[in-house]
Amino acid sequence: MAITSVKYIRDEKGKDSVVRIIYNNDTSVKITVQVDNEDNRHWQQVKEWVAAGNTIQEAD
Amino acid sequence: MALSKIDIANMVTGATPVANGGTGQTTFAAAGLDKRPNVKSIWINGDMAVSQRATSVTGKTAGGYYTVDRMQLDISGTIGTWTVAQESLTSGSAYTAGFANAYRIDCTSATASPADAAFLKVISSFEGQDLQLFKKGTANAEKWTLSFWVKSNKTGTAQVNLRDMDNTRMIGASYSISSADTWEHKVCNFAADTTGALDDDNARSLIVEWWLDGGGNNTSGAMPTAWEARAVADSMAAGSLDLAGSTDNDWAITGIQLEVGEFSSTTLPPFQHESFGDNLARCYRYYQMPVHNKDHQGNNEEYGAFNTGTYSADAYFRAARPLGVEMRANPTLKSSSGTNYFFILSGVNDDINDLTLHNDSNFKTVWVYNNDEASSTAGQAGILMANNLSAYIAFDAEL
Repeated sequence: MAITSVKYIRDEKGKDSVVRIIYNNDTSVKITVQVDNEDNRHWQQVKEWVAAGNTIQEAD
Repeated sequence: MALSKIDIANMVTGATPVANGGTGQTTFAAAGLDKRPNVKSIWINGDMAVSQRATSVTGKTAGGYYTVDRMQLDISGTIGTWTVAQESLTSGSAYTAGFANAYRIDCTSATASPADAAFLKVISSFEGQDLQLFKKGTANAEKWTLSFWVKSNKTGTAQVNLRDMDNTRMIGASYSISSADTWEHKVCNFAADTTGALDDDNARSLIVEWWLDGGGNNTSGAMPTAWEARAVADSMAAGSLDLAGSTDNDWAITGIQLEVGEFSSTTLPPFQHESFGDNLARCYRYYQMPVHNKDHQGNNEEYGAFNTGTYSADAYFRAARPLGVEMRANPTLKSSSGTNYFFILSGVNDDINDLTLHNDSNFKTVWVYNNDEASSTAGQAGILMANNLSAYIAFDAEL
C-alpha cells in the first residue's frame, strides 16, 4: 500500500511521539504508530517514505 | 482384559512392533517424528483456520494482510485486481486430509502483460529467533522441506522461494499443478546453507514466497537450486502461472508445513494440527483485534468493550489494555474512524469517532486515547466500547 501522508501527533507532554499514517487516501481507518519504533513495519515504511523525499506534516 | 504391550524401544528405533500391536503400524521413527526437533509446527496457522481481519475482501490492487493470519499478498506495480478470502472447504483431497479452510485469491480484473518490474506473490515471514533450529550459516546447517496443498484453475509449473532477509540470499524450488481446480499435495526440498546465519531476534529473517505472476525482470535468470546471493531475475525463472492474465484465474493454498530436514511425500511427518485457541494465541503475537464487529464465531459484537479508562482531563480519555499474548514488537494501532463509532460509558454516553495510540504503549500493554471528541470531567472513569458494527480496534506487529 502506498503512503498518502504522515502527520505528527503531539502528546499531552508536548512531544511529537506518534505519527498518523494515511494509506491510499483511506481515512476510514486511523493508523497510528510510535516514532522511532524500529521493529515496527509501518514506522519502517515511514522512514523509507521520508528517505524518498517526502516530509512528515507538523502536528496541529 | 490384558493390557497391550507398548514397546518404547520399537517406537524410537523404527522397528515394526509385532507383539499385541499387530503389524503394519506406523512407528514413531517411521513417521519421521524422531527427526522433528520442534514440538509445535514452525509454520503458524498452516491450516488457515484463523482469519482475524476478515473472511473475504474485494478489489485489492496492493499488497497487504487481508484475511488469513500470517498470509500476505505481495504486489508490486499493476498486476490485476484481487479478491482475497478464507475459503471454507467441504470437499476435495485437502478437505479429506483434514483441512477445512484455505487462503484463496481470485482475479477480478486482469493484467495480461505486467510491466517488467511488476510481480504478484503470496508470502509469509518468520522471525530469525524461531528458525535457529535450521542452523543456517553453520557447518551443521539443515535442509528445509516445505509442503502444502495447492489448487488453481491454471495448470503448469510455478516457483516457490526461501529468502534469507538477513544475508540477502535465496533458494528456489518448482512445483507443478497437474490438474485444474483440483487439490494437489506438494513437497519441496531446499538445500542446507552453511553461509549466512539468521539473526537470533524478533526481526524478519526469512520469507517464503509463492510467485504467481510477474514481469520480465523476475524471469530472465535461472531458478537457484542452491542458496545464492539474491538475484531478482531468478525469482520466477522456473515458470509462471500468469495468474493475473484472466479473471477466470484463482489460486488457493492450505496445509502448509515447514520441516527441518529433507522429506519426500512418503516420509513427510504428519501435519501438526492445533486447537483453534492455540492457533489463535500464536497469531496474536503478530495481530490482535480486541474489538471487532464480529467475534470468532461470526456473531455480531456491536458493543464490544476495550477496557475501562479515565478522563485525565475534561476532554482527554485514555484506556489501557494488558495484552494476553505479548506481541512481537510495539504495535501499530488501527482504529476504524467514523462518526460516533465508539462511546465511553460513563454515566452518560460520550460518543467519539476514533482512537489514537498513546506513546506509553508497548508490546505487553497498549494504551489508546481520544482528545478530539471526548468530553466529560477530569477524574471520571469510563468504559471504552464500540458503538457501530463497523467499529474495530486492532494492533498490528506483523513482520
